[in-house]
Amino acid sequence: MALALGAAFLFLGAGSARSQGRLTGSFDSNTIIYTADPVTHTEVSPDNRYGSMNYLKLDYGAKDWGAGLKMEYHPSVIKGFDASLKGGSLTGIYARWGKTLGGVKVEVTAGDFYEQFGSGIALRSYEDRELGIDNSIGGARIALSALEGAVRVKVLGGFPRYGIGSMLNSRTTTLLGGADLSVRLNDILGIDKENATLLPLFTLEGSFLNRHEGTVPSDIEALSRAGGFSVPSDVLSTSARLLVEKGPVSLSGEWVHKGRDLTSTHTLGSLLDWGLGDGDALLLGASASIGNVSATLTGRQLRNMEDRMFRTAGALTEGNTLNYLPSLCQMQTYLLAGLNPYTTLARGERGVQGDLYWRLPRRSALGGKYGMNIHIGGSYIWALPVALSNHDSPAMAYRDLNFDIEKKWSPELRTVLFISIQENSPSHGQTSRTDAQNVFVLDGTYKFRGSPFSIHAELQYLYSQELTRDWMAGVLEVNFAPHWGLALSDMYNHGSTKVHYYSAMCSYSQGALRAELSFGRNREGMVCSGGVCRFRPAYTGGQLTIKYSF
Amino acid sequence: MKTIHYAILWVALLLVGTPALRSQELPDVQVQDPSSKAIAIRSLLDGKTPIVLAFWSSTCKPCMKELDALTDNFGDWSEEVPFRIYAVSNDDSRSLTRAKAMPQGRGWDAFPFLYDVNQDLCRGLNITAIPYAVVIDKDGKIAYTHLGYMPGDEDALFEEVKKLSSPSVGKKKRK
Repeated sequence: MALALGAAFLFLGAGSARSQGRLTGSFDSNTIIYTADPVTHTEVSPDNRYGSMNYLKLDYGAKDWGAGLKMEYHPSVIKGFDASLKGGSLTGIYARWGKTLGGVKVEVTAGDFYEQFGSGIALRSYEDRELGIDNSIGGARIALSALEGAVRVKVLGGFPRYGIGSMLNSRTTTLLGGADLSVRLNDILGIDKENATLLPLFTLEGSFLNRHEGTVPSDIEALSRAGGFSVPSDVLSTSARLLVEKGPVSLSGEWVHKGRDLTSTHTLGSLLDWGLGDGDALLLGASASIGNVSATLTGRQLRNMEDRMFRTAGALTEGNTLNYLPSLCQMQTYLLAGLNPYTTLARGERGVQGDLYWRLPRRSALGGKYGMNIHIGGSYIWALPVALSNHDSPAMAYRDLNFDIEKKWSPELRTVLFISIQENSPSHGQTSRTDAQNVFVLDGTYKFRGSPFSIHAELQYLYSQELTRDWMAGVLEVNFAPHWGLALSDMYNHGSTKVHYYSAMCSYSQGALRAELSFGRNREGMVCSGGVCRFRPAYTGGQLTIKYSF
Repeated sequence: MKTIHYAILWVALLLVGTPALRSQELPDVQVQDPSSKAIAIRSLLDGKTPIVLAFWSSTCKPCMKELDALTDNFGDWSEEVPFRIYAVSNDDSRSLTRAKAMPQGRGWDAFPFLYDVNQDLCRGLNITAIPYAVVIDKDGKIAYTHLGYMPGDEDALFEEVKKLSSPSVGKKKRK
């Protein structure tokens, strides 16, 4: 079967050179060879000597139609990823047809596709290889766009994917059905052109999604008997969204309601405390830009919004998800600032997050000859009380304040000073204990004039009186653009464990090919991508990563 | 045996992909401008000047470094060779407001910004990681792509743009 498909695409590929069709694709490979490390007490057994996850995607498109496939081969799953991903299979295949008929653009997809309604609180079908998430939907999708995109409708139905099964058999038995509508009111009412300078632009959107699980797993059935409730086979989610834009100011709001569903009644999701409950979410956003200053403010409240593609009383894995609830706080990119990331409390959370960006222009008193960028951001997140919480009012779960100032001193030298003050409640507000940490980073890049050679260095310090106390870190990168990069880094916990977490990496880039070879010791902790995190156990070893698009 | 089959399949598919990339064109998809209006990406082609698409997101640090470098250099470059740069954000609707606010607050005022909210353009070009830069000739053919960013990559990008402006560009094959 695999060889037959290869031959089919060989034929298509040869055909693409003769016809007007386009063949594009991508290849992604990530392999880690683990070594035993007595310092971090990590051992290597014959069945976990290595992890390797590999992806190949091909898309062929002609004038009105397209088709594609995706293959994955994971002979051994990388530590921390969902074990259901082990194996190899054709995990996705689709055909697409699109044409404009009478002013309406029609696109029909049959097979596997990704989709998102609004900000993803109601539905997000997507792939994130850092997290091991791929919940593509196998079924059909129709998208219509009329009046130059002023009215857009999407209707879909299908079965979401979980793990790797045999050939094209990675689907769950959960059936999704939904629709999404987006209307630009100004265009519909014809007031855009006449009153463009007076009225803001209004966009009204809404969606619904039904999740149908025909069979109740035996563990869930036992839970429902013990709790004296009956688990519904259908859960309906509805949402309404409004976007208002006027020049540099925009306001947005999204409200989502999820029908009665099985939910844990404990903030931390104890496996013993289950019940039925509705869910709801409210997301509000505002942004404005004036002169060289821009600001954004986001507020969000969640209640029982965890939405899994299938119910289980067992361990919840990252791959078993239907919606997107990233943490509201700033995604940290420096090693020590991201040491203890906050993860969203889908069962009950309220939060606010804001950013202020200020560009001090060139040749100004404060900006100097080359200008300067200042950013201040912060977030405050509360855990909302749920049935079995020991607090009856919102309790602080996480807060942070981040400040960075970026200065270009000359055509060669650019520096960043970054400070992050973070406080986290490890019990998510259940107790008064909090862990505070202050992170300081000095980051500098020197690019030699008229040369492809550049050096990047970071010095980082984390001050804390809790957990593993103080850390320090250093990063040194030497780059020879556009092909070669070398990097050395070390994180050292000198406050408690006295362990070095070192890494050495060499990268090579050639066009859309990038290969990285590294060796290092990695601590146990959370790995985050796009505000969503997964647990990663400690490991030491060598890693080869290849990314290629064509 | 199954492993060998898959290995053979993947090698075959990669071999297929290589010649295909030489004939790749800008896909016919829509993105949004800062006021959320839909724009056909191919409508940016004017038949006269090449364009550079620099893909970024508001949570990607190397992307911001690349946009800083392009902003610093674009004024001098465009005096030497006429071409255009479009920064394309792939932020989804959750972080879109931040992505729209950032250019002004970061001083990225040298070129326009577009928003690939539904990732249609990213999917059309099979972009799986950013920063990702694409150089497109005046007729819409993709002449150069680059994944990742390190200081100095912008100079290599400009060299590719300059090649497209030479009289023999029409006869040159992509590297």
